[in-house]
Amino acid sequence: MKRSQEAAENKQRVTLDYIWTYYKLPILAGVIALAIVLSFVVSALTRKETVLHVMLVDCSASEDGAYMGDRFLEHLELDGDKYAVNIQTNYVFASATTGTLAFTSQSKFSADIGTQTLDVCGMLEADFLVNADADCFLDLSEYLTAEEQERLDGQLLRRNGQIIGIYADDLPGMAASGSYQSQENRGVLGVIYNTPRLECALAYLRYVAGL
Amino acid sequence: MGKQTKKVRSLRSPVFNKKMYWFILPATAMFLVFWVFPLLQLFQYSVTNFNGVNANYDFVGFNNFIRIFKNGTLPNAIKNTLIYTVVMVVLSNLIGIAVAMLLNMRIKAKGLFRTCAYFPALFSAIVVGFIWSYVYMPGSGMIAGLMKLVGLDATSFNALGNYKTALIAIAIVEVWKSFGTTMIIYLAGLQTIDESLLEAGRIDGCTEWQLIRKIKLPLISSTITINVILNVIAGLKAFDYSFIMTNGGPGKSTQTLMFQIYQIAFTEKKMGRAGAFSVVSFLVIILITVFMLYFLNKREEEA
Amino acid sequence: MARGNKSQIVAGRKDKMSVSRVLLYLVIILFCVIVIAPLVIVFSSSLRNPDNMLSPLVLFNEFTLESYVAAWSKMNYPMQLLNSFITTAGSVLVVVIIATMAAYPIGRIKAKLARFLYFFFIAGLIVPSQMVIIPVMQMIANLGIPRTQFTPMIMFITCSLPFSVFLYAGFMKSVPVEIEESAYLDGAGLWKRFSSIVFPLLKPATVSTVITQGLWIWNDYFYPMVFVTKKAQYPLPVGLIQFLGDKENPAQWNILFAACVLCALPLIIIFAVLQKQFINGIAAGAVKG
Repeated sequence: MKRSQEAAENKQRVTLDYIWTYYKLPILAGVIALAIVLSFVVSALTRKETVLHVMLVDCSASEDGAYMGDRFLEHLELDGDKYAVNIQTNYVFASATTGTLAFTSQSKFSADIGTQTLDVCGMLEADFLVNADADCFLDLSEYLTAEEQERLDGQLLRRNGQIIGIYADDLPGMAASGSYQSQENRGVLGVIYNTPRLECALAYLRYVAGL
Repeated sequence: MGKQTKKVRSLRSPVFNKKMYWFILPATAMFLVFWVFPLLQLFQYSVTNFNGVNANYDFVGFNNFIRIFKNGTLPNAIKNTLIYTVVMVVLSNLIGIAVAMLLNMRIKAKGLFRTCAYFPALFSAIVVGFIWSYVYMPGSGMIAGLMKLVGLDATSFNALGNYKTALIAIAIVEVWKSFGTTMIIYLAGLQTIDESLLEAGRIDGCTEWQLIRKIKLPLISSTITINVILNVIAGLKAFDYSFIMTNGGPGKSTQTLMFQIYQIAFTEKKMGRAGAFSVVSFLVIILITVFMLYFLNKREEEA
Repeated sequence: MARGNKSQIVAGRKDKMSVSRVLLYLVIILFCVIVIAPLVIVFSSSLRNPDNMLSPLVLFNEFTLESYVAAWSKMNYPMQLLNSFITTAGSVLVVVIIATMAAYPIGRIKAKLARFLYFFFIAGLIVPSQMVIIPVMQMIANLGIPRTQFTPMIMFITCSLPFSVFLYAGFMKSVPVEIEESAYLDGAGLWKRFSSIVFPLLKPATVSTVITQGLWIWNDYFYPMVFVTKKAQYPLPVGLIQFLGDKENPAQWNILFAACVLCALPLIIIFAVLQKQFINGIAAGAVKG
């Protein structure tokens, strides 16, 4: 009895060894393929529609972009399970230590605009002006009511008679997350000219400005 | 015999027939879609005044090309890139061959030393750049600290802040990271050398140095070719360390070709002109590579 | 091995511990020390408390894992490690498969078309990957491919192709034609000949490809940073970048160094374990090619 049990166990072990020696690679490949497929399925099932895509460059936020996005979603009173607001804060154009981050950020910025996926962008004033000269931002004077323009008067960035941005340092929405608080390098927010979600972008600006 | 050669040479061989071309399909498809077409798109940008963000651009003919030749950034970038490449290729190969020869002798713990030599290659470029920024830091960096230890005056040492030395300093970083791979390839090449040839040489009374020159080097000439070509291509495309460590400075001394392209594309917001710059850069790289290939192949045949 | 002994006997040298050998060891050790020095400093700094501002030259004056803990939690290391691993392994897998497939006709058929395709792929080596990023993004968006954590894999595979095809095509020369011909005579179809005969024989080149391409894919930060939007989907190098800080918060060196070590750790482990195959693999691939 015992011997036949041992023989059976032995046979199992031999088979396992055989499989391990000869089929290692295909098994590994299969596992990886399975992981990728699974994650695709999971992300497809849990996909949320992006309602807004914001890129805050050089903002030194003390809060995670995800929190900021969630709060804006609440403000819009949208269901957090079906919609998402994407606020990214870890990009840098003016890095003090290394230029790689700047290059990658610039590439992402240009690429996002090129594929029409970016709605609102914030950056330091110097960069903002360079981009504004390249016709990157929308003229907000057509979208903000006269009253709103009145209230924000000191903080509007005007250029060639157009309102292209809003200074960020005194905006309550920005202060809440600790972004763009520096007084020497003021940050500016603007709406990208080819944004596919104009209404939402404007709503975000109004929310951040406390209007 | 004749029948066999005929089979291999003709395309109608049943073993290697045209159906094999189907095999190239996936690779070619990916390559075309995600590499060649975008590249062509880039070439298209080079004859427009696309500024990188706004999609309303016009055709401007060869204006961009004329501009970049005129305002002098191209020659500076080419010069810097060439210096960087030469320093990197020469140092990398010299150190690679020397260390490979050293480690090929009969010593213990070869594995350990080889691991040490290959270690730098395992780290990411950002990490490497950062570590070496610290090494070069004037005042409290590693080299400055060592100089103080030995009693030398460290206050005037500023490798990355000096116009003349910055480029070479970052070339050294690239060498540090890449000589491990070069060394290993040379090691393999050295190990294919038949020991009996060396013995014959020794018996004939050659010194070690003569052995190296007359026997070892010629026999690994194809390895040298491969290494030099790969290093040259890598050097001409060099880009990381200018960014990570010096950001193009001081002045314009560490601006390589690729760095210059980035500058024009994003800092000056002239994507079209950057595209033109890219086209010229590719031509330069291709020319240099083909030239080197031809030159080295001739050397190989002679040896 | 036998060759080595024979030369020892033939040359009749008795220089086991002569001056020249001691000098040799000294030179090698000195060289290794110089090469490793920066890494040692990184390692010793990473073992310090995050607030310790002493010059990093003072080696090993503290031994605490606090920086590691800070780096680990801030980066969300396990998630990023998993992402890195899946992305790298997946990309390398696909590259090996389609590069060998592509190299098969290129290495075997002597027609002009095959030669053209060979140079076509190699020409891709010359282009640095960061140049074409904007058109590439537009292409990916036009094709409707969603931007997930696996989108960079497409670019990883595409950029690896030139070098891999070059390596494999060179290596095909060392696969004897006769074996394939006899397999054909035995009735094996094209795919069977490829997968059962040619592919296993290309193993050294495969090892070489896996190592060289896997290394740069693992350490690449550019493509993930541009394509991946959600923090949870970041691979390791991107997590590393966030420690570089910006104008307002300068880099905290000790935590940064700890993060560097953590990022390279999996590679170091794999390298230590597979050291022999590693070195043989790179060598074999390059020399034959």
